[in-house]
Amino acid sequence: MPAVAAADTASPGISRADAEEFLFCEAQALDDWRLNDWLALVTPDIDYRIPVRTSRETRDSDFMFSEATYYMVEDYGSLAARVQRLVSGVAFSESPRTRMRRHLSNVRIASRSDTRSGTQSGTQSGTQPGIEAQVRSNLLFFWSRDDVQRLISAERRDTLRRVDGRLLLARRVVLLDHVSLPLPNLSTVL
Amino acid sequence: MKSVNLKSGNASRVDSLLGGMAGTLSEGLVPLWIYKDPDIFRAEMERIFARTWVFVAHQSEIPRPGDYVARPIGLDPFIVARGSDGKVRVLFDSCRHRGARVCPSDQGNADNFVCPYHGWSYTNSGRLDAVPNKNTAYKGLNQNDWGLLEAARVESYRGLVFASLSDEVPSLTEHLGDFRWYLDTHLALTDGGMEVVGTPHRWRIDADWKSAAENFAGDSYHTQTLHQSIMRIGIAPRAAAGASGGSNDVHVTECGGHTTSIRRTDPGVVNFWGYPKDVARHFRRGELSAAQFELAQRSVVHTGTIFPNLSLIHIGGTDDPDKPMTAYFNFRQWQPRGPGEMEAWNWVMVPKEASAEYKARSYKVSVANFSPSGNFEQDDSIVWSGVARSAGGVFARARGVLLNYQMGLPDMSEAKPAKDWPGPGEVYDTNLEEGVQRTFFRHWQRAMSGGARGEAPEEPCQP
Repeated sequence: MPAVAAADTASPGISRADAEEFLFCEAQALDDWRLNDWLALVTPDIDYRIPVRTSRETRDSDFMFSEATYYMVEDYGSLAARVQRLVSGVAFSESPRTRMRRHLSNVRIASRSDTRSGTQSGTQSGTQPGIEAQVRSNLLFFWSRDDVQRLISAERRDTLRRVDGRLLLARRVVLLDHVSLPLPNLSTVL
Repeated sequence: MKSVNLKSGNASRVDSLLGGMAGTLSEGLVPLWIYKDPDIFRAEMERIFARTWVFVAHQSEIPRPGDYVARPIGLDPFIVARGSDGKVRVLFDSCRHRGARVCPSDQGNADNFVCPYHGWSYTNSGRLDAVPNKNTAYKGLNQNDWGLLEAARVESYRGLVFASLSDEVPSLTEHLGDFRWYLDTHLALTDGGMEVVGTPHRWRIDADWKSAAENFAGDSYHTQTLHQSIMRIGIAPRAAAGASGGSNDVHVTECGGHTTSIRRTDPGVVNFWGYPKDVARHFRRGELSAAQFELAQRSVVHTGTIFPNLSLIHIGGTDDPDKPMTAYFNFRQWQPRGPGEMEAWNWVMVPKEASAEYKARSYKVSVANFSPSGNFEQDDSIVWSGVARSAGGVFARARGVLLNYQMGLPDMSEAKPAKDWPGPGEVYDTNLEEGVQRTFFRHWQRAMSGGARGEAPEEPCQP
């Protein structure tokens, strides 16, 4: 991807190393079930979605990912409510906790934008101004409960925003490689 | 498909179980091992799913000619297609030449279904349209005889499309019977009725389809325990998700084999499941009776199961305790995939007349509560998996483990027939009773024993 490499050197904003560092730390918080720590890594205007995927004829491949239906479609308030429930001690889906591990790879900067001055070059941007990077990465999510093990494979399309010198997650779309979720429930963000 | 007979020795094992079940069911006892057993599962496919009406789609999923969705009936793959003539057919997804799939997509719009193997091509009404090299290699083939095979019967009720693989079934109207009275309170509230949002959720659960079907049939008892986290964070009305046993709660325990659990407001308090005023202004009596409309007005939550595997939930809630509650409405189908294995499908329904903004809001709240990621539903699959786990070993069968479905039987509680209830069916004045589940299993037992659906059950309804 030459265009990405060029962008990587042309902008003083968020580097791939910055993005990787953020994503690895974020994954660690989720894998460790430090959910309130994870909430501190997202912006107040977070837009989080896992669209429903369907198998389509090649000519209809633009419609593989639904624009109306989601396994999760979240804002900060609904994510915070989920976290509050999961740490309540009576969320039986996570008592005992599911063993889970996020394996991240293929991290690349797709584009960058700077919305502080009202101009932006990125395709997706949050409502708050800042230096942003659109980051694509691959996710292999391992899930185990009792003696059952499952895998979810997906691409993440994230928008990371630098706020007061810290990177935060402003937007995430998880593009599943599944038309049917291979889990009995989805008790965590991906 | 006139008849399906199990000829293997395992059929007699199933029959001997079923023969003994009628008696134990009347005592409110259900064998544990039926929740995960290969012979039971095979018999369910042949005796229930191939012999009765099974939901396949909602009309709003396939509005235009050529629209189709791929849907299973039991384990069999079908295409629910609206032909260019506008008629909905349920076509077996298997080329008549070698049996390969002709529709590898989950949904779309097509004039033709073309088999990728040798190129046999079928119209969207299933007719064999083209055969490569026909004039030299298949001269005598009568194309009219080699169209895609269809489900024996396809009928719909207020947008819900059902198919039956057997033609020896009563009409869909008869199958739904008086339960239509309750369905109408959900589906006939507005001129446009309810429509599906987008595409259904699908997810695999290592639990038996019956666990979910009997839960939605009216397990009002579990919410206070399993779903206590919901009350703790304040995202559902206490009236909808709190302890059962309220004075306005009823169970419709028997209505053509279908059941529903209803929680209501006090008389005169208009709630409409929590729809906001700008949506509820579209609700009108229309075809509903005064009693049906009053029930809709007082509704807090309805769950229900249409035998065998279609369920509904209509309820209010929110995704965030700082945001207002709203109503949401789901249809569920518990697709059997194997003994103790199912794939759940979830359709979110919204009133057609509601604003796009409201539909998106209702969808979001629905996903936050009842979906694979739902704050309620995350916990349900855990307990259902546990049932299949204990059912599938040796102990459950060797010991003849019977589960207790006795709540509401005469020496268990004060459940009484509801006085002055304006709707059909057998209705009890409390949701602290399990007649709803006993109905589900009574009809399951009858269907598995070859009894016709819709007949009056042999055992008197209890309590």
